Amino acid sequence: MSARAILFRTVWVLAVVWPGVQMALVHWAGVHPWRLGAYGMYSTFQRDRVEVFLDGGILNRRAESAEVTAAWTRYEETRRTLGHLASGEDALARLLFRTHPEVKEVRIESVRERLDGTTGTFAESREARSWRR
Amino acid sequence: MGWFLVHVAARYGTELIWGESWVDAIPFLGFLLLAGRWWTVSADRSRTPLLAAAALFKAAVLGWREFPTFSNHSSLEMLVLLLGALGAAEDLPLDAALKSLPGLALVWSAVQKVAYGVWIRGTFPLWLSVQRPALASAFHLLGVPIPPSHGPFVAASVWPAFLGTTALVAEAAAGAAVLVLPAQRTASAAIGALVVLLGLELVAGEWQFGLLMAGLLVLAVGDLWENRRTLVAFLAGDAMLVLWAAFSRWGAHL
Repeated sequence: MSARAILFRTVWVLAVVWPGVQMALVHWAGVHPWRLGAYGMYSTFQRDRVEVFLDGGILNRRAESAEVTAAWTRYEETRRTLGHLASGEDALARLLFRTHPEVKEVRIESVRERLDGTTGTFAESREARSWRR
Repeated sequence: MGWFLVHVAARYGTELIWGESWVDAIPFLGFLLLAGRWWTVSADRSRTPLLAAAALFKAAVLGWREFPTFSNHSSLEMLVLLLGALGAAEDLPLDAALKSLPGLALVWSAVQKVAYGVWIRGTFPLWLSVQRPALASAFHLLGVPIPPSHGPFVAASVWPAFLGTTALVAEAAAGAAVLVLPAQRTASAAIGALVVLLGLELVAGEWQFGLLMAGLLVLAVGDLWENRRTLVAFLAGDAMLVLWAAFSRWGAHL
C-alpha cells in the first residue's frame, strides 16, 4: 500500500473516531461540546466568560486599553473552546501587571453557565486563579 | 465546467462580500482551483497533482482560520478537501469516503444529542414544534418530549435523539445522502434533495450553510453539472445568495 493510500485511510478513520475523542475531551478537559469538529453543534447550550479582578475589585473591560481588551477576549474565546486545555491565562495576568503597575494581585475567574437539559436552568461553575506581584 | 465555477464563485464571492479582510480571497481562489480539480477527477484522477495541492492548500487555510473552533460545516469542508486531495488516485475509495460523511455526521450528531441534550432553537423541526401546537402533538405521539419553552432537553429514547439530529448540519447531510447514496441518481432526485436542503436552510435563516452543503454535495456528484435542470436550481440558489449577501451588506444604506 502506498504512503498516499495509508494517509487517505488514516484521515478517513480519524474522521470516524475523532468525535468520540472530542467527547472524552468535553468530559475530562471541559472542551465546548459544539466545537472541535465533532458534530456536537446544537446540543446543549453553554455560555462562557472570563472575569478579571485587580486587588479584589472587578475590572471593567470597556475601560481598558485595546491591548488588554484584545488579550482578554482572545483568552476568553480560547477558554470557551478548549476549556482547561486553553493557554494564555498567565500571559493575560502578566499584561495586567504591566498595564496596572499599582496592582498587587490579579485574579482571573473563568465562568461557565451550562443549561441543564432536564430542568432548563443554568448551572454556573467558576474556576479562579490568582497571581501576586 | 464554466457553470460550476459560477456556482463556486457565487458561494465564495459571497464570503468576500461578507468578509472583512483580503484573507478571504485565499480560500476563494483555492476553491476555484479545487472546482477544476474535481471536474478533472471524473476524467483522469492521476493528472491532477496541482489541483490536489490546491485542495490541500485550501484545507490548510481553512484549518488555520478555524483553529481552534472547528465548527461542523468547516470540519466537513476540510474533510472533503483532504479526502479529495489524497484520494485523487484510481485505486482509492474516494467516492465511498465522501458518501460516508453524511452518515457519519448523522450518527455522531445523534450520539452528541443523547449525551448532552438538544438546544431546541438550533434544531429546526423542534423549534417549529414549539411554534405550531399541532406539530407538537404529533411529536408527543412519537414519544418526543417537547419542552414548554425554548431550551435544551435530554432525549428520553433513541428515536427523539435521531429526530434531534435534524439540526441544520444533519438536515443538509440528509439532503446530501438522499442524492448521493442511491446508485441511480436521477435529475428529479437531485432537485428534490436540493429543494429540501435549501428550503430548510431558508426557513432556518442559514443560507450560507445551505449553499455550502449544496456545494459539497455537488463536489461529490460532479456529473450533475451536465444536467440542465439541476443547473437551474443551483444557479437560482446562487443568485438568491448573492442578492441576500449584497442586501445584508449594503441594504441598510439604501
